[in-house]
Amino acid sequence: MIEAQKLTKSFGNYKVLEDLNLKVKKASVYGLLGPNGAGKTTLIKHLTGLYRQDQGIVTIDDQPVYENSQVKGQMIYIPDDLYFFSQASIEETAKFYAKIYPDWNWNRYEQLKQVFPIDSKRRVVKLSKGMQKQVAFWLGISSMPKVMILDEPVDGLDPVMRKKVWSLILQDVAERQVSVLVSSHNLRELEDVCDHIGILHKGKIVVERELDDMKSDVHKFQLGFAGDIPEGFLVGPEVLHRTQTGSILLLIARGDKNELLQRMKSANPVILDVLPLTLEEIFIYELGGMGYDIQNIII
Amino acid sequence: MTFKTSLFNKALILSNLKRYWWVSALYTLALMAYIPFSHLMKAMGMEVQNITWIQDTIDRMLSFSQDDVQAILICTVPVLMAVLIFRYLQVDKSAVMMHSLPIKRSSHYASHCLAGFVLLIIPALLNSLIMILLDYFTVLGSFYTLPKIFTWLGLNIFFCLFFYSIAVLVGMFTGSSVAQIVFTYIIQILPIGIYVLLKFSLEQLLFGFGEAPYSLFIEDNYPLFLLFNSAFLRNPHMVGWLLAYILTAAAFLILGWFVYKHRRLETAGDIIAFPALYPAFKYGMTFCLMLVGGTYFCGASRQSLPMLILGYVIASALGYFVAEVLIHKSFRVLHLYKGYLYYALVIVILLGGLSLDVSGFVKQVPSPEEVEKVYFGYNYNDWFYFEKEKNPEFLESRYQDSGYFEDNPPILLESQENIAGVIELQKHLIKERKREAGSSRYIIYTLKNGDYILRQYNINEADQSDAAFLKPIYESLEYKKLKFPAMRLVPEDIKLMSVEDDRSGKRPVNLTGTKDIRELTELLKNETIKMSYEDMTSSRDSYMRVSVLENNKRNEQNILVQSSFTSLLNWLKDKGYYDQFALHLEDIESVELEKAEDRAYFDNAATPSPVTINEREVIEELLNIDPSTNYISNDVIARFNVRNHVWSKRVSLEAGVSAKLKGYFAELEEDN
Ligand SMILES: Nc1ncnc2c1ncn2[C@@H]1O[C@H](COP(=O)(O)OP(=O)(O)OP(=O)(O)O)[C@@H](O)[C@H]1O
Ligand SMILES: [Mg+2]
Repeated sequence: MIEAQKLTKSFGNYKVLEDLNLKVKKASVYGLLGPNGAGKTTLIKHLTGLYRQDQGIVTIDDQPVYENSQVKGQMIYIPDDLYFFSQASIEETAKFYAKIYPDWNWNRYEQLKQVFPIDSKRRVVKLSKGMQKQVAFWLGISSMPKVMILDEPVDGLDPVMRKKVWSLILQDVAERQVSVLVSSHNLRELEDVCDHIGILHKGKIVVERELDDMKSDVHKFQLGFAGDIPEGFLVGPEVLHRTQTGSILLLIARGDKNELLQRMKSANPVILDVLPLTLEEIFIYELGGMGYDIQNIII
Repeated sequence: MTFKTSLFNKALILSNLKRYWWVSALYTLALMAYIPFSHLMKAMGMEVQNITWIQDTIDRMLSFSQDDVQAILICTVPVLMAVLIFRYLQVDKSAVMMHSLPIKRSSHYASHCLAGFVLLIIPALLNSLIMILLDYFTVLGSFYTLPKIFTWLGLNIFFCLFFYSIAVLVGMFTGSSVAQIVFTYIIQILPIGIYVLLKFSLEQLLFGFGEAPYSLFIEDNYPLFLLFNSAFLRNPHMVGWLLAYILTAAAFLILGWFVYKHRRLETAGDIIAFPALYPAFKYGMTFCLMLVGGTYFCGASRQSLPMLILGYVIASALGYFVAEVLIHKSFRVLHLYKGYLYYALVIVILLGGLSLDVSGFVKQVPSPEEVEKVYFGYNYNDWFYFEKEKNPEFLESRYQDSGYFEDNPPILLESQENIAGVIELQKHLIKERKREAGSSRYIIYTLKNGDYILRQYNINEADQSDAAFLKPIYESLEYKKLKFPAMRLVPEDIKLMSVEDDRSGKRPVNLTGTKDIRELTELLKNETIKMSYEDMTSSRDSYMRVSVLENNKRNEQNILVQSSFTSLLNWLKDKGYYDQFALHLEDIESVELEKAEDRAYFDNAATPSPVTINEREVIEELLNIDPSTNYISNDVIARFNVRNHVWSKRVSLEAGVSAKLKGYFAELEEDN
């Protein structure tokens, strides 16, 4: 659906994106993760057809995005820094969007009044930052997009509103097959909503994972042995991490959970627990070997 | 989607109209207050005697001539409109929001442009409508006519369009609204600025360099100047001219569209939106500031060459680094000094070449055989339109004086002797290389092969060595014929001649008899032919003059009667005219002396009491003394009281005077 190939972009002599590849599937939520200044916003501005790439291809539904109003009519972009016409009320802004977006839906707009408790006669620029974000979602969702590109979207929303907004979006993903790309520098925020996560680092997507796979693929075990730990116990490439304190062993390993358990049981541990693993830890352990100071990115 | 709907986006146009209608409204009110309503007030309060004055004012306003208020509105409102309409492009947030909408860039550009233009012409249309209504229903009907109103409407829209198109085009190249405003005006005065500054610098560096003091071409063709000098009204090909400008404005808008399409969104906020133009901006600014600095330093230090160079160095460095600061939006630009060094190297080579006169410009003197004629006068434009362009009518129409060249023939010398004389003079000037005193004059050769050699020098008529070369030229018949109107008088064409003396307070004596006229013209000619170089350059005031009114001319010619014109004076005396108009010693009742500086510093009321002289011989001495021409020294003003008339002259304290007069001067000193 959303696709970037060999995307390269420099500002002056400063290279921000280099040979970047990215693919977002239809009806999925893709989380773009990266530290400040990694180039998330820059990448997003290419995906929304605002910036022209130096090299590479950016397409949505196999159509180039730049200067393509057909594609843009099916897409909404909520930037991290919102802009509204200074004189216009919510209602007037909605009228403007209604004339511009081909699939605008007034019913939806009216329904969403229940979700967003803001008087639609008020001037948008006079609203608080969080309220403006709400207006952006309100208008964005009312224009019935096929693609939503959100740059740090829930920044500034209160927890209740975050939930509401995400449930609206996920509902659209499920019912209308909307594809969503959302950026953040906070993994925890993406954990619950994304089904794909990509990490942007030094101008490239260094990791791209499907979350469900990941969670069922990596496990954390705590083992205790009566005596010494048997020689050669679980030292394969499947072990991502191992710490030993006395006779207690902490293991993080990749593979089929049951099979791994079988293998451990055969060594007769006194204790054998499967501990919960956060996404954060998965990333840290998965990427630990890649030579990036990835901890800083994720936490 | 049809072409039309996709190029002009209705929602965008409407949103622009909604957001900026207030500019339009204010402009409408300003025009309304300034034009129809003020006219109505004038017309209602009119009295019979100022009808023509009102008519004249109204006509001038409606045809945009000499109307600074309208001119200022016209050159600011469209620029402001262009800035507001394209403001979204210069701010990152709004540029991002607007371009994420499903609207193509062409459509953005066309819709915004159109919206701005509509907002600009609505005020003019509304005001025209008001004027038409006033024309039908009020007293203004006798001042307005439909053609006048439509001319006003047309010119208003025309100028709005022009300034708007320039500001829009400039806006496409820059990423900042402030820069857009600044550049819009700078590019309009830049050509004339560079012209003047470059000319100044070349004059300092190349002895003898001369060019037009300012460029009539720029003045008559650049919109900002046009607007203020209303040269278009004098343009004989007005329709074609307007058409050419409308096409130019359209070309600007199309070019703007093209630039918009290639503009990168991330340049919002940058001073220049296209990195490829950085060097042009950087070195352009360096060069312009260099010229400004050189002119400023050199001018302030009375044309000293080292100061010129110092000015160049300081100002060009300033220009370079300021440009870098603006481009990089950071003050840490000193490490970019290399670019400046390259620039400096090029300039040093150029200046070195100039001052070593590599091209031989300074020493170039034609040989007499090559020269067809030579212009030896003060006015570049006279020469340019008369000799080079062969289009004197243009200048005459510009000066609004159809007989200009007939009354002031350019001094184009063609005789062998004079050509040789001018060449010798030029050689002398090149050898001496004086710059300071004297007045600046052109020597422009027309060569037989069709080329021109143009030089400009300061020539000092009072300087002995210059005078030696000037004398043969000045005393030649050819020069005098061109220089003195007296030489061109034809008795048959003369309706009236009158003789008068400014000092006497008496009425002029009119001569109408054909015999008198013939004799007087003959005498004037003879006296002029006899005039020596010294007479021609003397600083003595001439108070007596002959005014000549010719048959088919509007203006009088005034011919000064010098004291050396003895036979003419004798003729006037013999005929008895002299006594009727001239000042006689007996006419002077008294003379009052006063220090010149007192007049400068005090009001008349506070002036210390003057020294009064009644002694005949001292009065006579004062009457005949040469007036002071040196305005720096502490002069004395001598006020002659002549019956019911007063005239005064400046006398130098240092002048060789009699003991008695010295006494009076001393008295004047003590008083203060
Ligand atoms: N218009 C621009 N001109 C020059 N450099 C830019 C421009 N926009 C972004 N950059 C640079 O590109 C890099 C990436 O910026 P970007 O805004 O994409 O980061 P980000 O990942 O969105 O960061 P954040 O988490 O803070 O939003 C930064 O170093 C930034 O300075
Ligand atoms: Mg960002």
